[in-house]
Amino acid sequence: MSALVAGTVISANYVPSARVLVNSWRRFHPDIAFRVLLVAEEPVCRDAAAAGLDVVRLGDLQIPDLAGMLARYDCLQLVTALKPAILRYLLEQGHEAVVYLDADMLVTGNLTPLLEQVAGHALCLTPHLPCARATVSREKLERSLLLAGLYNAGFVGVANRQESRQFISWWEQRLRTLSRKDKKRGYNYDQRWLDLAPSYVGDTHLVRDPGCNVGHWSIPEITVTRDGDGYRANDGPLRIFHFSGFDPRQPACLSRHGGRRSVNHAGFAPELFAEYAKLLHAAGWEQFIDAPWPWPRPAFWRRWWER
Amino acid sequence: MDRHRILLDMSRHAAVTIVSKRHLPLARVTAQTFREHNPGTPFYVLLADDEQGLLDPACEPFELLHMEDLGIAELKQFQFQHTEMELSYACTPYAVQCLLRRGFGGVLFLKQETMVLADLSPIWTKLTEHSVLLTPHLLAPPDRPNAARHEIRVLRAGVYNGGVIGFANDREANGFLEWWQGKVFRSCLRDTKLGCHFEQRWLDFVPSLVPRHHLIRDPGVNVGHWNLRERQVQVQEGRVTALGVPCRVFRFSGYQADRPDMVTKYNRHYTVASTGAAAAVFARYQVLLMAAGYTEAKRFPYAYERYDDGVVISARARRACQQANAAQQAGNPFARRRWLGFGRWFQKGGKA
Repeated sequence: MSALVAGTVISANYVPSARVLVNSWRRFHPDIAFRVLLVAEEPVCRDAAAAGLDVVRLGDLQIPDLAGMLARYDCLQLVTALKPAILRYLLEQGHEAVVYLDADMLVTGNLTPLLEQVAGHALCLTPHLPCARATVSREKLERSLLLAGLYNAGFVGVANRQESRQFISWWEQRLRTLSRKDKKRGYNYDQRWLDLAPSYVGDTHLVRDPGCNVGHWSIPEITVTRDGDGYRANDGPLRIFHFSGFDPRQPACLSRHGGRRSVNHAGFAPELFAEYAKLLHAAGWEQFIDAPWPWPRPAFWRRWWER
Repeated sequence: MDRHRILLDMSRHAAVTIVSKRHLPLARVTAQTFREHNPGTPFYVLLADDEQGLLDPACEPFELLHMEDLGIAELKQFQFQHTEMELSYACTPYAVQCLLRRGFGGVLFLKQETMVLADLSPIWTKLTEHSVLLTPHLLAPPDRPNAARHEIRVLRAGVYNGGVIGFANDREANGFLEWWQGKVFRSCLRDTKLGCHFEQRWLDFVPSLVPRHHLIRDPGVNVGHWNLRERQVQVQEGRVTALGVPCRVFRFSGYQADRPDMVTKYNRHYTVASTGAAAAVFARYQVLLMAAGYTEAKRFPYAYERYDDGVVISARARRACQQANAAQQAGNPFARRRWLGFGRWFQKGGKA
């Protein structure tokens, strides 16, 4: 059993994104497995496995109260709530360390320094803001982060230690019923809970490499430039880019979160977005975008549950 | 230039708290108990208020700092924008930096309702190794029914407690303090729906912004109503322990000496009687507060409560001043009857 493994959680409409991510991962780390928890029915899982994904099925995970979660959550809530479950499952498989990556990411550089940090600490997180700077535009972002969560939940690294397992089981327990979006009251899916992680896990390590998990929140601290075959983030290599809120139907719009900025004025190389959109299309993005969610719930049900 | 400025000496430490005149007895008790266990370390109190002849600095158990010592350029605006409680919270980064400028190598901030129960040498040692020291409200998931609800409360109020914070005199800490000052200068409100909780919520950024921070995991530091149920406070022969280790700093956030049956005004169902052995600590604190002149000080006026002509400043006026631009704020906002400046603008129905 290899020491390190990567994983993600997706629903059927993210199969192409996951294929793009896994291919970019394999380009740099062909020897490290990338497992994909696919929250979908069996035919979809079989097709995805045939397309080259290393699929984990919901039934493999032994999630307590899975039926309840399927009943009370919509697609996004369930997929975010299952992050701790895949971390737990992969640690139980005997891996020494697990990296979770969101499916809307792209690996653009060698991750060895990052993976060493993951293996060396109980918990690794990427803060949205890595340094102090007082500007007016920053203040707006800072205030939104206080409600959205300070650490980006698109990247979580855990090692197989007592402390990590305790943290994962706490996170899983909270997300069983409280994967909500109600920022004003202190909920933001899985992400807001991570604010408590440094309190609970003594060996929490914050990754300060500017090239790891760059996204729309990194403007204007981090500029991404084209460099030969790859990309650079400030002075170092760009390792992981997070296309949070990016929609290939509108490839000129950076993100549906960060203020609908244009990709041409973000300080990020526009080629990166063009390349990603091309990869998504090649992976069959159009056929999957409307994949139905197999466990729909009436709206009144959700309102009743979250009241 | 601060006339107290002296050469930086990293081995010299100081502690500081902030009160208005009404809460002077809280500062007296904090200072007395601090000095009892940390002889030789100076304890400062910033008066977020004016003396108005109601105290004699020579007779107090602490060194007194005034608002004028903080080096705030728009001091009148700062005093006008905040209510009494908000002002004493908003002064925190200024008071700490004022002492760092005087050459102390490390400054420990203790919020007003605090009793020091043992020597703080472990904290001073940590301050030589790290830039900013913080105490998380919770060190582990709370062991109580409705644990998640308690965690959500903590998430809304801030993950780290603003009652015990240490700062070393280095670039990272000073940089963070200046950033924090920028956040609280205009507004230091409690509006959790917007992510505001006085000065405290901004501390959530410390681990992100200050690489050399350290979270104090000693369960005996910063015991308060938010973690009292988990800390298992015991009192034996006058010695207080929390989870078996010496309790060094006990916090009485929201405790009122004239309502000694209640742990905190923030939770009216939480009674001192239900806290077990900790009740003895509350009783001890209450006696000290009363001896420090609690009843007398409660009647003291607050210097920034009224305009110069004696009219009480409304909360609306304070909020309007926060949101006004520089031109609208011009002049002394306390001078209501001037032809120019904030008073005039506000009286004419000024809206931000």
